[in-house]
Amino acid sequence: MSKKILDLKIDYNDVLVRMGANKHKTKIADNIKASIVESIEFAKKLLKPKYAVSFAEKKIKDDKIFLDNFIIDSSDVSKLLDGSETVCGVAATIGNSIDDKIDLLLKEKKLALSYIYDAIGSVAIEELMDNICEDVQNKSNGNIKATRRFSPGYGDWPINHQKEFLKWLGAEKIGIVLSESCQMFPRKSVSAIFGLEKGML
Amino acid sequence: MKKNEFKELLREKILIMDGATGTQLQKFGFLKDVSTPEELNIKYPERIRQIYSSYTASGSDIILTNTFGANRLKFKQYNLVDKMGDIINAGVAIAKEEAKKTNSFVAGDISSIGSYLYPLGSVSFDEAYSVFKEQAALLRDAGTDFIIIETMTEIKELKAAVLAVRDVFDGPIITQMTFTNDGSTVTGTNVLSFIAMAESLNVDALGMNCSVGPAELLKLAQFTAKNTNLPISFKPNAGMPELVNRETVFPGTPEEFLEISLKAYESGINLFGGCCGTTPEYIKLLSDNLKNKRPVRRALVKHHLLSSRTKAIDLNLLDKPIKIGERINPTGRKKFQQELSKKIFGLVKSEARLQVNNGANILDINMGLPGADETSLIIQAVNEVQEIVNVPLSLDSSFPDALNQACKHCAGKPLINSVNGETEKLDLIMPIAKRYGASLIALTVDEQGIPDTWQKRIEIAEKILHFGDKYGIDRSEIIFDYLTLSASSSPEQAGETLEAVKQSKVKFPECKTLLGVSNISFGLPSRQTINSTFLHMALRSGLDIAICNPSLDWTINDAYAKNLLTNKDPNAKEYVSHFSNAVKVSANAEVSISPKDKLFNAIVNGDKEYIIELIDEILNEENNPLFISNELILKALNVVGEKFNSKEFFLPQVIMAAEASQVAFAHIKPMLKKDKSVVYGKVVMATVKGDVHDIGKNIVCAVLESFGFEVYDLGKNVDKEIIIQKAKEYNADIIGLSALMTTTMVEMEKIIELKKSLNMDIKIMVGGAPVTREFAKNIGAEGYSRDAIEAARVASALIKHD
Repeated sequence: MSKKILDLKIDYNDVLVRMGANKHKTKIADNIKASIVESIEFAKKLLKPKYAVSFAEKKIKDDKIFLDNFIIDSSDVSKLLDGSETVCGVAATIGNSIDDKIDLLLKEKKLALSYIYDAIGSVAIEELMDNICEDVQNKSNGNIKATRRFSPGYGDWPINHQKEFLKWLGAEKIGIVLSESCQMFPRKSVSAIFGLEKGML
Repeated sequence: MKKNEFKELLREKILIMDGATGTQLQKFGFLKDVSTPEELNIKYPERIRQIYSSYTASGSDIILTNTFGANRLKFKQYNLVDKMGDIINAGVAIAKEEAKKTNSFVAGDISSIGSYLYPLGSVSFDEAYSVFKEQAALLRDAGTDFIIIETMTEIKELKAAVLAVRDVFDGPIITQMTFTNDGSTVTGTNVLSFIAMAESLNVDALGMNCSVGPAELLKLAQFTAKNTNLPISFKPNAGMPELVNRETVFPGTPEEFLEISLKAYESGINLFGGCCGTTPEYIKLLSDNLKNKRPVRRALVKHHLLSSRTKAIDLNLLDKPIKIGERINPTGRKKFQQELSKKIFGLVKSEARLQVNNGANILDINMGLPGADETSLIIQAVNEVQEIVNVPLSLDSSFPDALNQACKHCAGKPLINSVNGETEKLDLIMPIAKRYGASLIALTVDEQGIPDTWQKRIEIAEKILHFGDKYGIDRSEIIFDYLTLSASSSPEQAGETLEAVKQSKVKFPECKTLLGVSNISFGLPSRQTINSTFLHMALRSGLDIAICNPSLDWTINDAYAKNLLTNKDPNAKEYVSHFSNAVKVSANAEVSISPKDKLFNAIVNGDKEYIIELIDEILNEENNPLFISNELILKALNVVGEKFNSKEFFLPQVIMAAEASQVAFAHIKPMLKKDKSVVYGKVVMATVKGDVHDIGKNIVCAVLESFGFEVYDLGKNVDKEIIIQKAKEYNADIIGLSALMTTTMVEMEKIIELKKSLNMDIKIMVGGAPVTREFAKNIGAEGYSRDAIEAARVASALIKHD
């Protein structure tokens, strides 16, 4: 895994936005500011970012997308990948230590802090996904642009396709498992697909 | 093997360790039909034998046993706990059989228990220690030559592991951590902090494995070589693996690996091997080029490290005086004492931040509160302070047990404050310093009290060093405090103290000197003038360290004060006449705010610390709990709600206000209940079956409680039958349901159907990320809310409709 991808900064303002703060209107008390800054520093110690990527040439049969043996039956995904020959899938996680910390805080009845850590985790996993996509795009010699990301459960791509999708990605090798109701563990895990479009830059 | 034999051996020659086990097992498909690699030792011993022999045949001098995760915590997950002894025994026995053929050594392998210790995780230090101890004892009994603790990422876990191994195993201990690209472990420990910890725990070799790839690890190994005198091991992986199209790919090559290892050799590394992705081919190359070579001599390192999880400081390099912040101490401070007696650490934390911002190099932590459990207080203070600042700690107590526990929980190498020249004290405290490798402040007093001459203080210092030698404490770890006495009562003593510091630097140059400076000015005006001048004088006498308040002005160097301190100002007459006119800084007169307003503000600002006192104060004036509830708490919450809706507040502020209000209601509810006219709604809350994420629901619970509702939180992933049954049992007015996924929110409809089929008179309200107002309406829920504040409003409305 490339090291820059895994080096997560976790922007303070992103964490505020994630918690619903409004840049102009919200007045945050100094003690809460300090607490968020310290929590970000502490949470960084809990991150264990990992990811898996798969690439496939897109094939279409009967309006369905075939990526090797993995099939996507969704008009939203078809639209997204319309201009792409190559498709990239990503599964990423920041590991379960942050989940454990949140649970511990809940147990200690530190609700506000647990909420802050939860927001930090969400910002971290999004940043990781951004880094991975950027890296894929950078490695493709400059004339390829990644489309927007799309995940099972969005639009008409059913969430219960998550299981097959994660299998195609080899996500169990980075420790992601799925519950019966299609929740991923560790909780701060994301899977998504995107297309690589030629000559868009 | 004995520790000194290992030392001798490594002085003579390079030793080659083995390459990867895990990735080799994977490559050959050897992990088929076992739940964890260690199970191979008893289930398919021929497979692990093949790996061992592939490395001895390639020239490994040391092979690591297949016991990496053979500990109670990990084995519990695979139901292998009762086979742990057999697995470790077989793992070592097979390794020994293979090693014998080539005269190689066997290193019992230990790694992480897989969960972080408190406060990063929830495993206690003692639990981790006992898990490691069990594993180490089994390795010892199986006859391993060394024990290696490898791939560690967390410094406290490393501490627990080394202490545990040391307590049961006399042979050589090698310890390795794994680092990321920024030169620190994933939990933030940098190489120097690791060195400080490993040296203080008296390991026999330290090093690094796996991590970022050989080229990056080389830089860290070279840094290590310049910063320790211990033998160093270097066991990189074959580059950072990438998981592409379901295959793990290592980008490195054996040739590149060798090239980097040769560079590491040139910097003085002693033990070589490979981690993930390396193969016997890699080891053969190492062996062909490095085996039996004489190690490159390194320059002797003379440092005096103290450390925290993420920072190490070298006392030999810091500018003098090194400042130990003295302010985390409740002595004589009423508010501090009040907080600690309620186990509140707000002031502890704010003092920590302030002192570090003002230049403290080290923070002293003293929890000496009469009548309190000092041991538990200091443990918590150590954890709290280390969560927010990264300077090393000075652990300050007169109770050996408190010091012992504080050292144990300190994520780094601390300073102990203090021992003195009393024989009984020396015998109690020195073993603690030895066990944790802590530096030790030694006060030059003894059974006879404070000596009045510098000569006698130096004699006591000699006695202390003698005891240090007896307990095997390196003399450079001992820091002498030559005692500051008040200049107003003992004007001649400043000179004795300064002379003792001066003589100490000549007689015991390896030992640092320290003074707590503020005592000098006791009973005199403009105290900081004297304190600072005294510190300037002490620095000229060779003082290294000052215990002080770093936030004060330490540039003052005053002639009157100097005159006084050199005993040329009898009865401090001149000094006092010069400074008694100095304006006394009076504490800002507190603007008087009524307790009612204070309570109102405390709720709005989410400040729960003094809620109960404030309520009692208000009740003393006027015994009307209903007024407090309706006119203060609920009105304050309404303000919070308005601020939230106008986005002046965001959710953390709402939660904190809710938490403050919960404290208030918990206190006044028993009084309110006597008043039969006051009825609060009862709400049963649950996250539905299949959903295991419940922060959102917890927030709603807190806000509802803060508005006075009686909330029964059933938790997450709750069966519909249980929800209905509990709602009946508690005679609830409302069931509140939360769901996080489109796959689970259908469960809400089932609960509503079940309620209807039972003809229950109860309202159901729903919410959660995927739940919309429309969905709520369609399934027949009586209430829906977007957020916690709206939930409180909706719940109140539902009850009024009754």
